[in-house]
Amino acid sequence: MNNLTFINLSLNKLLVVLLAAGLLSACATPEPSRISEEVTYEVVDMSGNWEKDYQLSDDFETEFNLYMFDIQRRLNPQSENINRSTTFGSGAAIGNRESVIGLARFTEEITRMPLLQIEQDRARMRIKREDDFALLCEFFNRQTSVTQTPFGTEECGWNGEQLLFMLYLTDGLRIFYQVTLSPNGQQLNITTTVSSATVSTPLTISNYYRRYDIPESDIDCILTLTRNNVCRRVGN
Amino acid sequence: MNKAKNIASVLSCVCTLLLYCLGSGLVQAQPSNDERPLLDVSIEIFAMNLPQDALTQQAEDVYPAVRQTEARYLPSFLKLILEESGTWGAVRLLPEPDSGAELQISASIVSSNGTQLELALIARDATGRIWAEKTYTGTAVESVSLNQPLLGTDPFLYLYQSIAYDLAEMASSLSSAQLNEIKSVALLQYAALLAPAVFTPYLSSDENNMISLARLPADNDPFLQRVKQIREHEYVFIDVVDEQYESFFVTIKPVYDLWRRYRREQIASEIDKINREMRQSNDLRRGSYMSLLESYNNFRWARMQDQYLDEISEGFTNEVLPTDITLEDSLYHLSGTLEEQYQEWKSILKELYELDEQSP
Repeated sequence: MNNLTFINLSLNKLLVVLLAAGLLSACATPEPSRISEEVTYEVVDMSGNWEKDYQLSDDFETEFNLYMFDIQRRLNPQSENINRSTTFGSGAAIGNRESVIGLARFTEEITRMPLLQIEQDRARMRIKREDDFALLCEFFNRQTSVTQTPFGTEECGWNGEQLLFMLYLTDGLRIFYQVTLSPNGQQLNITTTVSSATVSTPLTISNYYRRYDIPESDIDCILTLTRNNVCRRVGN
Repeated sequence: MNKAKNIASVLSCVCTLLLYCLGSGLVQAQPSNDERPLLDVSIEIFAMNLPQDALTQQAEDVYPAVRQTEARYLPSFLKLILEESGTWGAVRLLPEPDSGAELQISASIVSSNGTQLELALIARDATGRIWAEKTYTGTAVESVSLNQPLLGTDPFLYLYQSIAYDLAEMASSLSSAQLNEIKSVALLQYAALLAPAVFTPYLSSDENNMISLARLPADNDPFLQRVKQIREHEYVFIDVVDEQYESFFVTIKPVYDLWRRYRREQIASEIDKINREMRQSNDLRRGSYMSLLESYNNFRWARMQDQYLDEISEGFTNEVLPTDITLEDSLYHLSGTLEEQYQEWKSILKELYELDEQSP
């Protein structure tokens, strides 16, 4: 078997694996699809307070091991470990160990999100996350909303009953969030897919959240500038 | 080339400052200055000039939350500068044009990106005379003032000073009689809005819409006394609003300064973006954890900054706690936004006046 044949075979195998992986991921954790321009249904109400359900959510370590195993199996079937010289693609030196570990470590960090607070009306949704910026989507007239900063672009919109957020950041970093509400409205899924320019395979983590109620208060507060929070007693 | 431009820009600013100082001196140097009437100035919240759709906003690098803040912050600064000059009577900041303004200043924010500020400004007195109608452009100049930390450190100080200079120059070119006429016309215009039938005949306008006094009511005219009283009551509310704007200014200044500095750094860094990226790739291996984290944190910081400004703006909007004003043994409870409260207060005053007109 000459080198050319080996590469061809490897490419064929890669295509088959990618196709299979694609089909699998389409069933399990679908890749973020294009945000649809025309949406004809009512917007799903996801508002409320949500806490992470660790039992249902992906265990990061397990997912990471599977991810590494998958990469290793698909691209270097004869090698036991991924080492610094591991390369992905047809000769392009991308996807070395540092990049793969870096992507995984980064993904773990941004997918922790133990608590979420979602505020929503007919035209806007704000997903507040601890120690991070809020994911903000304005979907008035069901249009795609785009926010640009010098450091990247945030795009969002509805795809069916899923709300999609796409972050296109510098250094080829891409983060996709798919937010889905269960039919009974008691469970929320956020599937996060992270990819970078130097790793050919994106890493996807799925987290589940369940509703929790903050004890109702008869004090209603609003933020003001001169008096900070101004509170008043509601009801009696 | 850039250096030469910078030097020219700094020189221009210094000249403007000198002219301003000189200008203020000219006004104050007039022998009869003490007896000259001082005009009250009404500054309307600046027009945001906000593009309607999000895509245009991005193309023009306009951040709605910041622009909304600027619409209140920039006129607040101008107000302070005018007050500092000592050339004017009361300087008031209002949510809308003042129907009885002696000198009304309106402006639209043409552009503001931290490095450049461009304001299309028009200043018109009660008679319709234009005092200034031009676009003021300023380039940020970092400065430190130990004497006036609030005013002296603004990077666009010179722009405001050139506005103040233009207005002061115009004021010094008018005679006391002309200034007095402006004051009288302003009062009668305000009165004519409350009771058109009574007060419109006192005013006349020419083909250029310049308004002048046709005649004057008697000093002890009971209607006029009543109008003056109502106007004082309106000022009571405006003072309440004014305090809120001032408080907003003081609160927002550090955040807004930080924002502008951040924007200036952004713009400066865009020039050598490619070099930076090359340097970055040397410092941080592309695709490494640190590199990804830096990329994310930059974006996170920018978004959090935007969202913080959003919250601050919301905080200002919430600064609409009901205002209670006592007027002639009655307590009036106003609620809604500042703009709504102002409208409500004016309609209460108008209603009261109409009742009086009908009463025997």
